[in-house]
Amino acid sequence: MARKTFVLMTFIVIAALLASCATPTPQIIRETVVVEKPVEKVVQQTVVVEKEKVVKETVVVKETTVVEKEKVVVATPVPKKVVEFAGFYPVDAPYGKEFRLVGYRLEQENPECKFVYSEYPGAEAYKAVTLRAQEGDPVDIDAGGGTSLAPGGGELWKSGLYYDLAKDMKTPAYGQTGGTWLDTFNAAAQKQMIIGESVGSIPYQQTQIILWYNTDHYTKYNLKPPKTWDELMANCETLKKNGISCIGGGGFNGYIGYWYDMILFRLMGNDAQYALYNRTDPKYKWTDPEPVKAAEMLVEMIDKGYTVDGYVGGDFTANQVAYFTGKATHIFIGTWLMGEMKDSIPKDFKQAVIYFPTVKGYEDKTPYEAAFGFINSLGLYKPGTKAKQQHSTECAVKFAKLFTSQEVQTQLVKALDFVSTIKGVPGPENIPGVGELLSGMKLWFPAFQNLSYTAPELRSKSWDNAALLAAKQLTPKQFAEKMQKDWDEFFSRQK
Amino acid sequence: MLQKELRKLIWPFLVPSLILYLVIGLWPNIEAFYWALTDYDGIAPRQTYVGLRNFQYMMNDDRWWGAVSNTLYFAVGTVFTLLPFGLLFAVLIMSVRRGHGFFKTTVYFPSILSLVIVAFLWVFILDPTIGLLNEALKALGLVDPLKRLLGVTALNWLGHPKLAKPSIIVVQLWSALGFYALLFMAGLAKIPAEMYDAAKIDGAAGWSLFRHVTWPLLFPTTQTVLLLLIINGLQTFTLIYALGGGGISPLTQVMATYIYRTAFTDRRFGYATALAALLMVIVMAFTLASRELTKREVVQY
Repeated sequence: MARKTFVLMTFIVIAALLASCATPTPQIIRETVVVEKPVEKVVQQTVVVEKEKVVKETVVVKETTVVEKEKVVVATPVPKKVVEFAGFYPVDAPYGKEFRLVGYRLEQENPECKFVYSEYPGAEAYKAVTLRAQEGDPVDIDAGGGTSLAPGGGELWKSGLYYDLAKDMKTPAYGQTGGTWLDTFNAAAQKQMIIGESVGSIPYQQTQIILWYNTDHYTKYNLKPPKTWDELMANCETLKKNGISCIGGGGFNGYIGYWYDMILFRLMGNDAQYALYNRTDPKYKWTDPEPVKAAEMLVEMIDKGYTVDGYVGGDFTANQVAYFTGKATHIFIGTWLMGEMKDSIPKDFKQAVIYFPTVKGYEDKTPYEAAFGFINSLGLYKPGTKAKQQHSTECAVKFAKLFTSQEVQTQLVKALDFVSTIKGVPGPENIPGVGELLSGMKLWFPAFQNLSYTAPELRSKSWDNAALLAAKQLTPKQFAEKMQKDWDEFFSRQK
Repeated sequence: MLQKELRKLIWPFLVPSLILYLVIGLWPNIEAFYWALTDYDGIAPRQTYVGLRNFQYMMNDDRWWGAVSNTLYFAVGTVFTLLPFGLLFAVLIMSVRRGHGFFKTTVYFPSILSLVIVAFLWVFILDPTIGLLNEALKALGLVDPLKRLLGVTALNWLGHPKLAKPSIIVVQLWSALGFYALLFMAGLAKIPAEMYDAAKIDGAAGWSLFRHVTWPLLFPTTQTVLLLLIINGLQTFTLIYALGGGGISPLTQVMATYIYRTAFTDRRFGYATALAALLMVIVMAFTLASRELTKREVVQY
């Protein structure tokens, strides 16, 4: 009996659920309607008829009363054009909130557009977003951490899933009547977004890995900001003699790798390094003189005692604390440093930022004004064939224009302390000099030549090798051989 | 009759949890053996069957074998530190007549802390530049003598190849000592006082009392502790991961952290599953071996 009841109840619940899913729900609009309702009212009236004869009679009078009545109107909602934004940040994180505010403003200014923020967090989220596009239901705007579509992302561009912004870039930017939208981006950003005749992405934020230094130390020991490796090493020697560690940072989390990458960049130049990392040209090998020399330079810096004791294996937060407490003079780290350490920086701490030094004899390989980092871009997908809602590239472009307007970017920089790619937007107030420094940048390249996104496995292996090199577990030559072996193995598997 | 009716009621309650267990618990385990034979990257809806290629790759993966070696180092290291120290502290605490509860709480206290918190505490104790330990050693003038003694140029506790693994074992000892001491204390409490009285009448005292009464009667507890230490040692993850300073050190990489990295950072779920399958086999082999090696009759007096 109990079993039967249980089965019956389960059946009823399932049926109810199915019914609620299957029945289209009409949209009920409650409105107030004025209707005339006849009301019978009895009125006593005295009528005088002929001489002294009083007759009482009853008269029915119709009156009109206003009553409220609910009227159910079934209406079909006018479909809005959706702009789905795939956000790298959680919806309630500061970035998520600020981005959504721009979305609401888009809706206000363009009632036909509806902004939807979908969370796609994590460094690998771009793969999930790409998959959606491949399956015919793309988001409209992809703002995943590494969506820069060029140069490594060129592969993504070749997929044909992205919308070509070339035409739109020739039109005026948001709130402007003349000029072009493209002109509002700084030179480094423009280089990143243009692929041949096309424009693949809309960079809005630059995170640079730059060399930070303690200006009090520089003043005290009469040092000049170094432009070359030799000058940096000379400064380090002076600092060492005065009992101060020249180089902070390090750890096992890639910062040693950043040092190696940048030295190698100075020795090889951008194109050759890109070819080596991405194996686009087999003539470049890890066992070539430059990669070995870069490893030797890194080891020499450690051997001479210029780095903090925790350079190999220290915790990155502890290493940052060492820099801000004056135990180390330099730190090679991203522009996120100030935001990360906001509450721990002594008020009287003075610092400045410079580009990573060039190497004597290799100055022609790269311009001094060069830095690598992460560029966050918006990428617009073409409308999908299996999209569940009515998407609009037009609305997506409107959003992108609003988002990259000087006004909105200035607000965002103020709220989020990032470095904008839009000309005229001031740098974050808490990083002195960074705005000026980066406005003069001549070459920007993505961290790890974009392999972080296309081959995260190689990034892990490369960082392992760099850490082992710094910990003297590998000689520079062994390091180069190990890198070559790892690269050979990885690319042989990709065939 | 009522029993029969009640028995019918078992199924509606049991089935949902059973389904949940099958779907969330058992099925992924079975499915994992299939993933181990594919090149699944964790995202792409399609994956290619690669046969035993992942296992072949594993044989030549020096990073993996480095991780296996490090794991064995940690497992042996924790057995040889936590087992004797756990027993020593248990015996000492049990022999204290006053303040028994205080000592018990003090020793057990670190065990209630999350391992991540323990790791962050120790990162700032052991940091070579701003850490408490080096500052204390500096104040005592012990930095240079220690450097000479250890044959290192800097007291970089978690970053120097010579010091990193022993330092982690010390942190592990501090963190888990209370738990294992408590297990030994429970074992010691079960030994009847009459045994000691009888042994004392027979002339036993001190070491001989421990050797002939305490140790044999504590053996089942020791066996359990050993088993737990081996299993936990082979599966160690949190402490190694959190002490890596924001990344996993190649000097202290263990099997579990390597599997995690391979799957979630390198996006090689297929290969990571193959490694996890081997980890399961290794843990089972060690568990069975330790049970076999410590098998003996329960001593009864």
